[in-house]
Amino acid sequence: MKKYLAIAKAEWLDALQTRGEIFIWLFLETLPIFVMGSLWSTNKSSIPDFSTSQLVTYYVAILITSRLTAHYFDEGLQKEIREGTLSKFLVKPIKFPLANIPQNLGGKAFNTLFLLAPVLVIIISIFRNQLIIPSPQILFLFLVSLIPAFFIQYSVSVLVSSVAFYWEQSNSIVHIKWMMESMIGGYLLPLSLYPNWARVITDFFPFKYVYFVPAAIFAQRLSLPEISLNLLYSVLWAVVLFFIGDVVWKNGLREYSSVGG
Amino acid sequence: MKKYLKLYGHTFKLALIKNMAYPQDFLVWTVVDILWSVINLVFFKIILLAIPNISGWTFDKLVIPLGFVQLLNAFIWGLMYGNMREIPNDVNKGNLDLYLSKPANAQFLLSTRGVGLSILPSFFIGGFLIWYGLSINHALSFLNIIIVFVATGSSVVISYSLWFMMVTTSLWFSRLKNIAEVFPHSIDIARYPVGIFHPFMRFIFTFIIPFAIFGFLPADIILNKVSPLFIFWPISMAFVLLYLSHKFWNFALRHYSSASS
Repeated sequence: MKKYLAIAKAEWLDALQTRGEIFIWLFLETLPIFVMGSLWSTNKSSIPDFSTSQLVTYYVAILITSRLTAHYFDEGLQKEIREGTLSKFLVKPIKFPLANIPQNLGGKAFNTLFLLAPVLVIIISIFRNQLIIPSPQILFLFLVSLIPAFFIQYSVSVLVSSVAFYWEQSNSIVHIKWMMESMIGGYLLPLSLYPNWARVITDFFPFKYVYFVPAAIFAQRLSLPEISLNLLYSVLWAVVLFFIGDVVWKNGLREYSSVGG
Repeated sequence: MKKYLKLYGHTFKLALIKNMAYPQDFLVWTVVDILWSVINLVFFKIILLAIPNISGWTFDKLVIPLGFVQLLNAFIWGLMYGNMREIPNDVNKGNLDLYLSKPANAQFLLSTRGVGLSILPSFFIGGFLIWYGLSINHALSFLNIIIVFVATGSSVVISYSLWFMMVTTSLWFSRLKNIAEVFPHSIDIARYPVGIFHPFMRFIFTFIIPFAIFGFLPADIILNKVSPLFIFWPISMAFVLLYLSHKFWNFALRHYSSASS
């Protein structure tokens, strides 16, 4: 446990070193919420089933979800696999790629404090009249939904990274993941706005449990029975993907070769 | 002038050779680019399934500004991004001296050293969207085609100039490595009519960081919403900003102290 805490601490210190960049990330993080919030706030015509306040709140929840659950190690890990530098992690007395979790948490602790909190203050001050403040019960359910979302994101990133064991152009898969998250995960638009046939497609993938479900809980778009059912599905997806990720990674390692000392 | 055209020609030739050496890589990234373009369109289609128009723009009309922005994106991500991203790194590592000591304009060398050709589909999709928009709005005329070329050329020069001035600040703030990310990630604003924003932001996006003139101003001219004389606004802005970017670069160089030995 101590060594994993050390990894988290190292990531925190690393983030601290590049703290100047935080202003730019602050701006870039606020931008999409500002644009989408403006878009839906200006729209005077009614959207079936979705109030303007719920839409603006939805995007704020998407930002929080993304900041607290996203994993970004896949691109870097693919590079390590392709270039053969993965070996340096394999010889260390840590479980890999599991070590990415404390590393991620260390970075997230910094980001939550210095990036997410100021962004939320800015967003809330811009859209204070449109935002729905969730009740403690809703807030609790939202935070609970982030746990399986975090592990789904981790496992998907392990799977995406593992492609590099077999395919030289695996970097493009990271983009495919972003596309899936954006469109069928509900990152760009709430899935409730999609036509029925498109919504059915999203049910076959885990991505809606990463973004749409937590954000819909936060925006009070789901009833208690719906929340319970969706949480159950998201836990199932998290468990299944974790094991698939583990098997695929271990198989990939058998294909892995590197040169040098 | 001839020397610089020849230099840029060589860069293109090298990029072509590189792409042909890794055809699979080129093909995969081409597919990724097509998919992102499709997602951008689907995104607006879904929004316009929920609401009748975005600040007065229906999908039939919206394809014109979206085409302009798509076309601009091809230039931004294909011709500029790779080069701009490297400038803060060069300053940080002291590699800038290498360019300053060459017998050619350093601004030109830094801005044109690489070309990404996998962005070609964006170029064609952007062109196709504009053509499609002109056709369905019965606006396909010689004058409008001239406007398309002039507006696109101006947008490219304006984008380059603003972006270059931003990355030039890295000569003072060498640790802000993500400064190059601000402009390409803000360009998304250009996909929305300024009518959705607060009047103050509308002013900013029209006159200070003129996202409005990348897609919606030429579309307004083409659709006879404003006088064709408005085309002189982006043209004059392009000349002024290009001149300013050059002046600002020279000014920044006077304050530059190398990081290398």
